[in-house]
Amino acid sequence: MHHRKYRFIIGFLVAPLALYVMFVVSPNIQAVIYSFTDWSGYSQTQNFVGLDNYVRLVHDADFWTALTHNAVLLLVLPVVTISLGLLFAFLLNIGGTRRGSVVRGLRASRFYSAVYFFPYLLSVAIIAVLWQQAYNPQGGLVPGALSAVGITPPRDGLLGTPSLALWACVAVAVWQAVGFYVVLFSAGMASIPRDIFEAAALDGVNRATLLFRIVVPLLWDNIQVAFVYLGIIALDFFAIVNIMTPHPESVGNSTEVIAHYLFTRAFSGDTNPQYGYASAIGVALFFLTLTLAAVMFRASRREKVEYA
Amino acid sequence: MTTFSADRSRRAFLRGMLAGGLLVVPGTTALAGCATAGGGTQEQAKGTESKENPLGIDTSAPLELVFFQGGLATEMDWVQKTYGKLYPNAKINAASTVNINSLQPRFSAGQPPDMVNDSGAQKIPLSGLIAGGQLADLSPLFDAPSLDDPDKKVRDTVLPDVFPVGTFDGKLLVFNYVLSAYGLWYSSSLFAKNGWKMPTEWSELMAFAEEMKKAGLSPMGYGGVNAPNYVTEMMITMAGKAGGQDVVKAIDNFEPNAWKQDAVKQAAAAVEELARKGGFLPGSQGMKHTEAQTQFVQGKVGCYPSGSWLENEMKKDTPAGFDMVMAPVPRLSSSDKLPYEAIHANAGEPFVVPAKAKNVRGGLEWFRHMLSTDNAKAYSEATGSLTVVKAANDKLDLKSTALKSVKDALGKAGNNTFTFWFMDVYGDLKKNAAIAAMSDLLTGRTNADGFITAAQAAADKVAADANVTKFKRS
Repeated sequence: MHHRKYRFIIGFLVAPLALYVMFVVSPNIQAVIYSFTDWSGYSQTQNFVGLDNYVRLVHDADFWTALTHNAVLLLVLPVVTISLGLLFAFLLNIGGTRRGSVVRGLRASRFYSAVYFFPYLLSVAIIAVLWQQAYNPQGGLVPGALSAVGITPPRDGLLGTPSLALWACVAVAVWQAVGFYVVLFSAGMASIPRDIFEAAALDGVNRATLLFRIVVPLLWDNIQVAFVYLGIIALDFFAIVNIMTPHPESVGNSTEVIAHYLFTRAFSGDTNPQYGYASAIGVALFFLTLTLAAVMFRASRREKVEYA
Repeated sequence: MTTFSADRSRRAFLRGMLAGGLLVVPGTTALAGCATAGGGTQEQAKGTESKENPLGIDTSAPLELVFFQGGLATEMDWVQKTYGKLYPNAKINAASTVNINSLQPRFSAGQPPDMVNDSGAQKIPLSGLIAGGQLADLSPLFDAPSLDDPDKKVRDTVLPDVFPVGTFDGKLLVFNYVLSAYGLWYSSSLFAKNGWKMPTEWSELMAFAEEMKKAGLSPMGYGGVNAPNYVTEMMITMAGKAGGQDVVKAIDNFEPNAWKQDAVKQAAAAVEELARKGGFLPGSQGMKHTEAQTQFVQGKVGCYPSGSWLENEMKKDTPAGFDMVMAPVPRLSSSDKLPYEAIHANAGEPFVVPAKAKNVRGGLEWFRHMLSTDNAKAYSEATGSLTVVKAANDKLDLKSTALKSVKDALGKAGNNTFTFWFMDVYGDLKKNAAIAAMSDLLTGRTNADGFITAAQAAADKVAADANVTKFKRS
């Protein structure tokens, strides 16, 4: 009986597994193999050079610069996005005016949810182009808004000033991602039993305590998943950087990230293609991401609340 | 109510996915596209040579062409017509893409198309193709009789500019079809209205810059986000005019301390002076070149350093009566080696025939058809760019002020045109000198000395880098 069940399951798994091996596993393995060669990408042959590419990687200042920026993104992007997402979700679902012990969100919260979620529906490429226009030092929305509130916008533009360019890109990423987490956390909050809030209201708990002592602990599972997703976005961060500052060296390399540096070494029409070296960068990034995910899951393992 | 739950199944599942790399790992997805397929070199189509068919193409072999879909986008229907007329059995397959680099797997598998217009931001770096032995020698084409006149070799129908930029280590591998000239662009109507004349010397330009500022214009602009190297182009041209062609050749050939030559230092100092005195449109460093060029055609910027494609690129945004024209960049001083009329001009827009294509001869024959007078003229009419075909340029009826000014400038320059290729061939030199160091100079993060030091260091690094194939230019 069991035997037949497995045959049935395997029958369904063969096709997706074959596709998976062909289009995901094998390219990854090939990338590892290329990382040990001097392949330019345009020759039919390649020489094995052992660990040369990795030795070069360790001594490549541009790589370390890129890595530093990914590390900064890894610290900042999840924290900012999750904080904002939590705050907005809280306001939309719980933080509204209270009448007696009934918990509710702000007025028109459905409208706000839609507004927050909207950027998430657009492709990153469109968003980056949009914000590129908004940052235009001559007549762009953002410098205009800064002037309006009495802040002199930077002379060289947000994307032309090394100390600001990366943050200008981060702002775009947060703007895009936050809506998704508002919706995710809202769903999480909806599943928290109302009587917990009622009890809290009866005890006279203020909003901040409600958020930090009750909502956050109960949403911990969701927050943990958000950290992993945003961490992976922070380790990638290719699209926004490549569109908004296609030449990070024009802002003192301040927006260079590993994925873009890989792109420069392999695909950019401006540099001599070195697929072997680029593969080594890709392999390094692969292990960084893998380590991140493993660490996140291990570190955040904790007891889980089940509502009876 | 609180129970411990290891939540095993979900965890195990996620871990399984991680092990397999299903969670999209950044970077490696990019690499997923570049697997080498097996396969060797293809059989090459060959026919019998004759007077009509001097390259001996197989008259029934299909011809696959890939064009770049950019500012000069065209699949050259007129050339397809003459080729098809001569070889009615040859099926022509033309396609256009913005991403020429998507052909990479076909090159590494030894099955490339028969002709590629390798251009645009996602072009395949020529150095990669050349070093990989992927390009066919084009000399049989240039030694063949021309389509217009069987007594004349193709070589004698084109401008000599074709040869230096297409020749790598003595082999002619790249065919640059379009004749490009570089200079300072301005609106002739705006200048006429204000009674302005483009200065011919840098000191005069500095004075003129103040006058433009008084009239509410920024003297110059550039797109720092993706093209500060336009200013590098202007700077190197000024250095070339001051010190002669050998100055720029030394840079191209990585001669020791090439960036520390006096002419280069003076040109860098000139750019520093203009930047320091607020000569560039504020915010240029944070703009793309199209954004900066929009400011130019809206009359907010007086002069714009760029090449002869500028008018075509900005056609949609340029108001009627703007009458864009190009002038040579000013001389650094009256003791410059080359006259004011000297300009940076070259054959650009690279076309190649892959060495491992099925129909190499067909690709070469396609070039022979591109180079007929009528076809080259049709190209100029469609794209607003001159070609390297002399006779076609002479026959052109010039309606655009821009194209006319380019042609005039080329005529006045005569033999005093020169070119450089370090930004096109050596990516890291463009990256670290022409873009990084120039951005620092233009924004005041460094001065002329700092620029020279950084650029020389970038050149020394490329020169010492065994991963970069170096070519000697003449």
